[in-house]
Amino acid sequence: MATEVLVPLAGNIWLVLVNVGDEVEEDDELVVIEALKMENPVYAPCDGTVSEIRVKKGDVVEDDDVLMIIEES
Amino acid sequence: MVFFENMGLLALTPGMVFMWVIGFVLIYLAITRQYEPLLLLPIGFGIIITNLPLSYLMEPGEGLIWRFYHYGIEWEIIPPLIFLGLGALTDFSALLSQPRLIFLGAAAQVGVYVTFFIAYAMGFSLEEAATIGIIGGADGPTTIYLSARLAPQLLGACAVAAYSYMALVPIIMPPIMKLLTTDEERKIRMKKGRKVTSREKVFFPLIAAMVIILLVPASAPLIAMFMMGNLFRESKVVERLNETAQNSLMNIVTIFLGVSVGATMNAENFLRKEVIFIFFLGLFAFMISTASGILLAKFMNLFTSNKINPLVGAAGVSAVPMAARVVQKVGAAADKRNYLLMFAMGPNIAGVIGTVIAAGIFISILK
Amino acid sequence: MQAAFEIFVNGISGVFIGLSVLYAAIKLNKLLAGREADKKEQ
Repeated sequence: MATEVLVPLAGNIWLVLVNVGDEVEEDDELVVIEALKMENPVYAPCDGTVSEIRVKKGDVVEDDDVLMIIEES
Repeated sequence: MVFFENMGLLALTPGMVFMWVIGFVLIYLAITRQYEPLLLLPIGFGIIITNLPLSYLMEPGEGLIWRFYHYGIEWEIIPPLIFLGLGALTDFSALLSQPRLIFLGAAAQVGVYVTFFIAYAMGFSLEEAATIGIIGGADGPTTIYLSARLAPQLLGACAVAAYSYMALVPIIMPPIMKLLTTDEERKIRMKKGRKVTSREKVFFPLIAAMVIILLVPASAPLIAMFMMGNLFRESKVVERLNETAQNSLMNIVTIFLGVSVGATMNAENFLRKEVIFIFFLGLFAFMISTASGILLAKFMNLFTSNKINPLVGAAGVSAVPMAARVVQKVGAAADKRNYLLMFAMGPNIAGVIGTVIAAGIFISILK
Repeated sequence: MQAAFEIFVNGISGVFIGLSVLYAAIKLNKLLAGREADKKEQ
């Protein structure tokens, strides 16, 4: 089942910590969003494999934009 | 030799040397710990040079720094200009999308008034107590503005107290936040408010300026500049003015502000027991403001099903955005997937307006 | 003491009254200018 990982708070993409194809576990840090000069990690909602990454460092993102898609295992 | 008669060295007092130490400490904290460096660095420097005798830098009518102080601060020009820059830097979306958070900014001003009352009970005059109380609003320019108006003799001490405690917010606030909230409450996830249109964001500064100035005219110098700056930002048609207000203008007035405020702190003025009281009262003010914001949030939760995370109430202490960041951290420690930062910005900005209103009310009653 | 008490009460009420009016104004603003997608949005 494909799960979307959504942006939890608006800001800039500071770091993308995974690549397409990586296996991730629930609570792994996937992306770090910078807002108000604070680093805010976004955590994996489930175990699975990263099938799509829709953002890169420097992108400006809004609430509920899609960051990446994880195929649940 | 005449040269030796004019040497400042011979007129040094131990008090002055002690003030140098304070200046060095502030500069040290600014550089190594990055404690509010934009203000504390020039303030620290101002303290040192004002305590070098016979320079006449603060000589009324002729001193260089006296002129900065007199025309910038006594004439109340610089603090409003800082507010112009702050308005241009502020995004009101967090408040506009969830307006009820405004009351948390109001609650935080309770710290101002409680401290005012206690300062008065301790022997300070009404004007001095008000200036000390406003430290609890955690807003540097408002503190300086009010002090220059009501109690200029306390300007240096109150400004340094305000900026120091603003820098120390990550240490002062968390213990109070944890004391007054249960683990459950800290984990509350808040529902996002409605999206804010750019039209709302353009109307807001106009509406806010008119409403607040009609109700509290004495707050006009600060609120008018704040909202004009915000209008520059949100209208999107005066980018040159917006950019200047946010950057060059802010930087220029900050330079004059910092060194002038520091230069008021000569040994005679500063080394009095009142100053120690001010530092304790200032800390107390911050603590009460934090607590009252949290408590009002808990109270509001009794009347709504859309629960507010009480931690967000602490951000009513208008150290922007430091207090919001602290809320984010404490919230994330309870539940790492809880992103309270943008919710916390609502009370944070509302608190700025609240503190300006509080200052305006003090001025209209005491002047 | 009397004066301080008066200021205390006037002050806290004043802040709450002022911000309540602002709250109402924000709600009104939302009614008049909110919700519809703004065409000039960045």
